[in-house]
Amino acid sequence: MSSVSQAILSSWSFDPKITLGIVAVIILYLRGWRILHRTSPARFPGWRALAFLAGLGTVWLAIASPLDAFSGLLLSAHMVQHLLLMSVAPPLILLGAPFLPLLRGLPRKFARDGVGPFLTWPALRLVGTTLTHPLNCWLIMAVTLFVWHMPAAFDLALRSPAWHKFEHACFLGAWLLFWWPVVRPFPSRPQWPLWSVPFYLLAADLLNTTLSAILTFSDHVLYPTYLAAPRLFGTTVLGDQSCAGLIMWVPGSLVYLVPAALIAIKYLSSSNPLVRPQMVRLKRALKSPSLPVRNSLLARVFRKLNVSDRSVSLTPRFSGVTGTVLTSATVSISTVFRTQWKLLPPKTASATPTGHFDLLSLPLLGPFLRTQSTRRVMQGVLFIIALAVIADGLFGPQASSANLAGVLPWTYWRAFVVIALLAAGNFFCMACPFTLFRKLGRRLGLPQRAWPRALRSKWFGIALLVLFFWAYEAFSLWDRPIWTAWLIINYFLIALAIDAFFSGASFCKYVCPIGQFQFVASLVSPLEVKVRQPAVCADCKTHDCLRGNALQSGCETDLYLPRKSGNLDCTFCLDCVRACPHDNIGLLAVAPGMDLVRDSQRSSIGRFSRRLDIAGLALVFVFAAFANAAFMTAPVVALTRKLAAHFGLASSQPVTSILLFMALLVVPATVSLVAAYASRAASREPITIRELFCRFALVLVPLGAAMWAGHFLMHLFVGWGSGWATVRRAATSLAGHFLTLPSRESSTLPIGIDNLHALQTILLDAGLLLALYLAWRICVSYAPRMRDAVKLFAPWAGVAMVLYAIGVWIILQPMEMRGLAALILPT
Amino acid sequence: MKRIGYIKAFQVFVLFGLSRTVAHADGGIMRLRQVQGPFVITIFTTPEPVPHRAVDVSVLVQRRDSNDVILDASVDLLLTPPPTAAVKPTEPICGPSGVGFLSPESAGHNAPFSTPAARAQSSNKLMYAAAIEFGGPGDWTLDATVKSNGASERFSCRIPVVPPPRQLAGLWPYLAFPLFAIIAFALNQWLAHGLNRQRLPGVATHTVLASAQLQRSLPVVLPLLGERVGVGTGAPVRPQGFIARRLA
Repeated sequence: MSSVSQAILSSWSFDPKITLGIVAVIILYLRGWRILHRTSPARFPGWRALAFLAGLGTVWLAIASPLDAFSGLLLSAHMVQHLLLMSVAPPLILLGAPFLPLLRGLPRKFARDGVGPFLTWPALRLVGTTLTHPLNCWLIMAVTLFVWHMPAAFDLALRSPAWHKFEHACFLGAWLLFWWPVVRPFPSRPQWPLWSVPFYLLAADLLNTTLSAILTFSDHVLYPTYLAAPRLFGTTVLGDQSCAGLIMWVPGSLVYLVPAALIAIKYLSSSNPLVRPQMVRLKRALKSPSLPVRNSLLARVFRKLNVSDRSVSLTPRFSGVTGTVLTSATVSISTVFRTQWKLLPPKTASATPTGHFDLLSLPLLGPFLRTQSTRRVMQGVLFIIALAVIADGLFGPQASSANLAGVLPWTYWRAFVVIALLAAGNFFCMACPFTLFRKLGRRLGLPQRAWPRALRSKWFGIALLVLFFWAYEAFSLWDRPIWTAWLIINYFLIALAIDAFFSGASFCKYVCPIGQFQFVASLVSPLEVKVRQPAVCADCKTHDCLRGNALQSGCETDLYLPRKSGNLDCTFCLDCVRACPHDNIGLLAVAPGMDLVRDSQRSSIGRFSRRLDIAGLALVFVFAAFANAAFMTAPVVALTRKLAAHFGLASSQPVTSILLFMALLVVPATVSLVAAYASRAASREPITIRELFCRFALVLVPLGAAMWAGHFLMHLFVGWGSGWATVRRAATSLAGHFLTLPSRESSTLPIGIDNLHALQTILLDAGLLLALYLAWRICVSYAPRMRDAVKLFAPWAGVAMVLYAIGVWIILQPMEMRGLAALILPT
Repeated sequence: MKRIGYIKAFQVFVLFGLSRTVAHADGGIMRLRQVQGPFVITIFTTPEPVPHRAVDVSVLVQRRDSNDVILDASVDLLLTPPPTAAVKPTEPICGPSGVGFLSPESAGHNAPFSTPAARAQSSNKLMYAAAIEFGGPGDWTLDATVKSNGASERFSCRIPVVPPPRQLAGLWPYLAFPLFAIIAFALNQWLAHGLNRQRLPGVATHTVLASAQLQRSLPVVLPLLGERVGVGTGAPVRPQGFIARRLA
């Protein structure tokens, strides 16, 4: 193979967004197809899946193969690319009957409650019916073809990658519509008789022939961009244009003519059931059921559904279901719902009988996480890291970016902890090094007491958390390694002291500010330590998960698993998992945040609606996220300096402290109370202000978690390159020549600055939408009438939106990267 | 499908989708096509180069006599900033008020610099490409030196680098998404509310979709399934056979 050929064949371009989009659609389709194939193999045979995959593969081929790389240089390559997008990919995709598999591939609840109402919407049905009417399909195709082949439009697409992508999208969309009346993907209903399809295709071919003839026989160059482009492979511009015209003409026409001929032959065949009256066909099918059945109920259902199955399988172009295209589609959806989602829950790959994903049921990871020694090892590793941080903080260089105490806790640890919380759960508490010596403290022989009743709330934790945030700002902890080291030392000592004097996990539950932060953030985590089968617990008399047994202690934060709901106060220690004699506790997947909608009686917590302290903790968590990030922005820093100068202060620290306390305590309390009053006044629901305050303060947690994640991601982005150099220096410094790490070139996080801002905005979007959704669900539970629910909802939605706007403003501000200036500057 | 699967898939999707896309030199705007010495060269760049972002510069080298593509040439690019460009030592995160702590490379170049162009960096492997970050706006001068078989030629063209768009402009799709989602959800709730008012007695909420959708098609579908159908004046269609009993 010549080097030129090799170069051409290796000219692939890889657009991760498009590729991932296609992969996501394939996964969705295959998931839905697998379920549907199991219950209705005649309607969803294997070749449909293959056709769909081939269709999407053709799309990818068209936009990623060398065709795309050469489309700007050769019109013929461009034409092949368009032919793939117009005439090959769309019919293959439609042959896969993608509507129901894609719908079934969605999460069940989302398909049912999210998409379902839209599918029944008459307006949308009308749009669908209108769009898929053969006349409209043909016209849309014709207009698209003509408009995009006009020189001005074609050249625009050649000049601009964005317009080029839009052109491809237009082709794919228009031809999906064009092929719809021809392929008639299940469960669509034909709007024109079958005999019209050959004429429909011939008319399209006529149009195609006209255009291709113009291209082939034109004696001047139609698209000026190609006139200026370099000539490759000895072709001339006109020769290339004629070649493109021929490609459009011959293969392009065959794509229309072959199906037209096949359909005509099929139609003219006298034995074809297509020509029989519909009712006759249905009655015949009713008399001869053929699909396998699983039980008596399904036998009945399937025998009945087989009527339409049979009719459709015999005559895929006449589904036999009444109504419009989308009507018939949703009829089939309803049957799918009934047979699979209500009457026959589908088998899933989940290892638990509940149908939920259970991390502890995974083959290797599950047993690994369950063992006590795993936790000890994790704690031990973090303890060693903490020791290194302390040592380097005390004895290392006091430039934060060059010290482990400046880099590891404030750049890496915070970011990874929040990412872990949002992606999985409270795994830091599981591996917390501060509680490693809990048992050691208890072996000191000191009398163990219960934690004072007066302090059994979150108020003390809130105070410490606020104190921590204040200390962080006031003493620039991120920039003072020695202070960070002493903070960690004191943390160990306080944890040891409290564990020595008090029983249970009092330190974790009532004292530890990091723990309080983790508990609140884990309210929106997707994993939860939870009972697998509630019925098993109903028969349990020993309650080992709480009390423990001879081999394993029970929950040290006093959570009784059958009545535990949500992640609050759960340290993911998994003691309950090991203690349960029935192996009935798992790490189950839950819908993030949905626990906040319920106001059930929770073990050791009670009702959220009566826990003012938990609401206060949530508010501090949320508002601290915005305050902590805002105090890094140049405008806020300038404001504090200006205020300090105005009041004649030598330092801006007092101003910062006052503003911080206002942001953490005064503003949240005031805003939430005003919102609670406004909610009650507007809706006139008989709910107390306290209850409204307690319930709705919690729904802001997703927004706070998003802001923390966005903020820490930015730190990770900026400080990523400094990590290895710092670790290497510290290793050499602490361990001498025993631990010499190889040097690595400093690199940045592989996310561009624009993408970082996009990611931060996406996080805020997700936080806002989840907060609004949770608030709405609570409102609906209080006020069944839509109007009252909206009134109840509006003030809290306003609070969430204002916080979102502040968050967007913050991420767009220039940042005062305090303490990081030395990252690159030579030291 | 496992929920964690969705979450992981979403994370991978977002992170992978947001990962820094290596800008491939696959054309864009043609800046120069010139015949000189034994070469014909064509220079392409990204349509609108902006400072601090990777800009593709691609060079196609052909023989003058045959138009054959030369694949073993050496191509070096020399970029000279405009004399009037006010290139500040700032970077996008910290802005003017902060100390520039990112590497000079990531902050863009503000002095003449050269870089080799290679076929490996191009998506079209017939071209030589380089990803270049300009330090500031203005008309930059690009000098491409092409060497092949002992011959060496220098080609020159101007690349207009435009000021970057406002940050907010790049984020508008993400900022508009919540609005779109809120409208869609409001519509969803409105439609679901309408369905609830039509719900069949004894039918679970999640079957409302089925029942309401069947308003129009029940009279035809249910008899085929052996169901009796009662249609009252103004009342929703109500299946009365075994389906209704099973749904109840």
